[in-house]
Amino acid sequence: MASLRNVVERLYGRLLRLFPGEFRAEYGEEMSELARQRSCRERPLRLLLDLLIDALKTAPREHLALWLSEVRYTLRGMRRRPGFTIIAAGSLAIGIGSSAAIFSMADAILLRPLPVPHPDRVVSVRSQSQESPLGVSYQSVSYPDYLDLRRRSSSFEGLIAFQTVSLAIGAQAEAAPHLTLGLLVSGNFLSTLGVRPSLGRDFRADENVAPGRDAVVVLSDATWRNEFASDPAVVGKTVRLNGVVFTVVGIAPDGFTGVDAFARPAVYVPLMMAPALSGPSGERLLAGRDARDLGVKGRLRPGVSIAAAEAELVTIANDLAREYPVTNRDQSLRVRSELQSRIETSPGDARMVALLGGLVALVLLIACANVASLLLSRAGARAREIALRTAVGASPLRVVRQLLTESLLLGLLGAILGLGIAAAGVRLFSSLAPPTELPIEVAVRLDLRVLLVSFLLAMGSVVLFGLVPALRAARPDLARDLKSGDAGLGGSGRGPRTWGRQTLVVAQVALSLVLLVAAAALLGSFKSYLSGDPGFRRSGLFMASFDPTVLHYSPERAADLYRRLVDRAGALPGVESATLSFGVPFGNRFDFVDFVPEDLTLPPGKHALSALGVTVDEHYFSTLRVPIVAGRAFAATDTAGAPRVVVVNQEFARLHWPGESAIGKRVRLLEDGAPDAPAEVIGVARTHRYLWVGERPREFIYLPFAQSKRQRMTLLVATAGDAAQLGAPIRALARAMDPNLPLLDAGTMDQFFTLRAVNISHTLVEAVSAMGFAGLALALVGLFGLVSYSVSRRRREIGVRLAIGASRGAVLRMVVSQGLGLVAIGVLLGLAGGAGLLQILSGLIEGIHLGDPLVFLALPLALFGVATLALVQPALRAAAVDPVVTLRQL
Amino acid sequence: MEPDDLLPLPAPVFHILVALADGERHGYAIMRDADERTSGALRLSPGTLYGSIRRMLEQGLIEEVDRRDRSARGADDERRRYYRLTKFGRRTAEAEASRLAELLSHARAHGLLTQRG
Repeated sequence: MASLRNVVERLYGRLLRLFPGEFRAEYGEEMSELARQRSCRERPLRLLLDLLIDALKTAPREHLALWLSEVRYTLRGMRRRPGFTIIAAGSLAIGIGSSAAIFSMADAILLRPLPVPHPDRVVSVRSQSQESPLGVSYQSVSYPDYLDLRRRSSSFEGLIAFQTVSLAIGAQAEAAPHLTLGLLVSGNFLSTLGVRPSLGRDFRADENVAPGRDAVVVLSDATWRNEFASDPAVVGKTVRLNGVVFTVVGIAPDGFTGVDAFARPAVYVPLMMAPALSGPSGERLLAGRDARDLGVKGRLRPGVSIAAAEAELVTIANDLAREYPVTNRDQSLRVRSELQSRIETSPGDARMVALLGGLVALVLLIACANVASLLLSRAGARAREIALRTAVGASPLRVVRQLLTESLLLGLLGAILGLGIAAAGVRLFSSLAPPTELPIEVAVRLDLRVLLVSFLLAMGSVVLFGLVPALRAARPDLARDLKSGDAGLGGSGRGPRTWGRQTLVVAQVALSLVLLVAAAALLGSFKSYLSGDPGFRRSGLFMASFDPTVLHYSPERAADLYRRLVDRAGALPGVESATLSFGVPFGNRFDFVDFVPEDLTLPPGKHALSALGVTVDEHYFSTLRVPIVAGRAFAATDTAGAPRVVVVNQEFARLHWPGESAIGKRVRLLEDGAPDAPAEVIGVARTHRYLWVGERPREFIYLPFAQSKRQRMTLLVATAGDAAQLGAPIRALARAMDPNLPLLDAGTMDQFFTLRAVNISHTLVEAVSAMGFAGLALALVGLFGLVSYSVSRRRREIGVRLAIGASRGAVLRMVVSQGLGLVAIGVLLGLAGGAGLLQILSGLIEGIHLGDPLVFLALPLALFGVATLALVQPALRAAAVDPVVTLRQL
Repeated sequence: MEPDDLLPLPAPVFHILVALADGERHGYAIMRDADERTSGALRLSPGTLYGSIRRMLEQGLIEEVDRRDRSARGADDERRRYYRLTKFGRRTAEAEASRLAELLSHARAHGLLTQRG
């Protein structure tokens, strides 16, 4: 019996470890005694079970109670030192908030997964062409190939095909239709993705089989809300798409916005309706094995890897190449994850996201390092208190836990405050979006993923950086710290202990200066461009875009429509001139022209050069006031039958025929990969900015409308008076020509330019300077913390100095100069870095001044001024040291 | 804080208060007292007992007896800690007792109270 009792006692000793250390220290002995006494009177096994259950029930409660009292103690401490709490939490808020905002931008551009269940199983299928004028390229898939893929492959639960189309949508019969985007889809589109309509039904299997037979449509949630006012009885109603009547069968759920990162289709229509909607091009889409226009995605079967699926598809592609050598020779297939596919399609976006990711990491790092610096400085000041607690028996673990609790609470507070900053940042980034009536948006938003990721990152780094001072503080030199809490008499608060933090302050000052220099330079560049002549007519111009293809106009009928449109628009009262252009400056429609200048041999493997261009009619240059500096503009005589002509800009002429006149030179224009007849350069236009405000001079080609096949054109009408007044007459004019003809993006050039050029560049400058200022705020916090720490460590030294006759002013100067010394180093580094950055930027952006005195003098001076302010409090504290008190502590 | 703020008391807390009503006791004695009083139904385990004691100390229901007092009265073991009711603790115990008594009279009035054999 006795031995069994011993076993019980020993086991209970182990069981006691479940309880917190303090509790054990307080009551552990008595608890063991109690267990021992009970083991005399009770059955050992029964007792053991009892004790086990008891421990399992009460130990967690004790841990929780202890932790709650820690939290309450910490909160009291934080309330007692509001300044420190605000500064620390504020720094964290800046770090967490800005990284959340930046991450939400990266998320919107590239990272956000498709809004479907199990999005990681949905992959993209691209066709890869070995033989193409521009080398290897990834393309979409053709419809017949897609059908064969569906029939022959077994790696997918489902393969879907889709294509974005512009449509004229008219919900009510009387109202004018407007242009929007729709998605032609295979019948299994929604079901394969796992999306169920919120109202009505999905497409039936038989509804995507016969071309043109089943005019059914699934509306997007946004269309249902905007066009049908969320009518619950919308299923069965009709809607006109490109003049064709469709029946609504279902509504896509809110939250499903298609498979594109930016375009949000208004409607989903069966692929088989392509001919009905788009006429001959729709027929070609369905029939041509070499019409590779469809996007294809698939949901992998469980257990099938991307590599395995790709291997299978490559085999099928080889089979198709054998069976259809004319169209499929040299065609292969590739399978890519959604992220890979996005990166391949827009490597520029991917680079930007990588940059943003780096920025996120940097900002968080700096913020957390600052808080660590602050915590360190406070741990140093509290060294005496901590030493006391340790001396009377508080375990180091307890001290560490208490400091960690403080870090966690600070992190929580910072995260909550950071939410506000993140929301502001997201609003800022959202305003970067280009304006258009089409349902395209970069959906920057603070969703749960963003918040969760940022929160975890911040908490993780806070705990990490909270650990450093915690561990340091937990092993104090008891003897020294009990006596005075200061460094030894020889200690100056400098030396190996603080050089890390000094480097940090210097680095932060330097970095924020670099950002501010960049912001100032950008501001200068943008401002000078925006306040001057943009290079084309900005005021008194009204524009509206048309797309007769949605109504199946033949090219001749479209040309006739446009001719009458321009003539009648030009005859409107108050109108100086009217012109047609495929796109407008700072817009998003341009021709991508492949060309070969005559007498130029290209390197092997390269078949043509590329340049940006636009198709315009003969009134363009005069209407938009783009000067022709040599030769002539297009004329009415440059018709389809006449010799082909082009106008180039000065940059184009300079690049390809330097030192000579470009007039009379010839270029061969390539269309659809095959070289066309050579075109003669008949005029040179002044170079201006075409895409964005900071653009460096680029080569540009103008093609004559009469010699092109363009059917989507923008009408631009110039007036000496208020351009906005032209809105109603132009609309009436269009309606008179064809009531079904939809307009798009009707407005004045001034509004457009303001939105595209002015607002975006302002937002860019705001974003960069916000980051610069945030960085500066963090840097000042770091400086403050460092100098405060140093002052508290040097109290005895200061006391001695005062005692032997130094003036308080001298002490003040000593502290301030120490701090400003660090700032000076940071400023020098920052100016050097800023100059370097400006060199890089001037290669990318036009109008960057490299040696602006405002930037390189005023900014550093301002920085010194602000830093001095930050040093006031610690300096005053140093000067207020009572030498009598400190000397007594020797 | 008023006694009513703490009502209803958890069973272990009430029994500890009752055990201390007659005078100061140490932990084991409290447990034995509760055990005997309830004829073995409530046998306080160490975690429950000392967890409750800790909370009751925080709430001011009981206080630890100063060792100097005890050794002067010749208590049996100096190492053990003795606890006694505070005035607040007594008032709270009384409040809980009346609350329970009222419940009992309601039960009796509705014929729910039967004598146990």
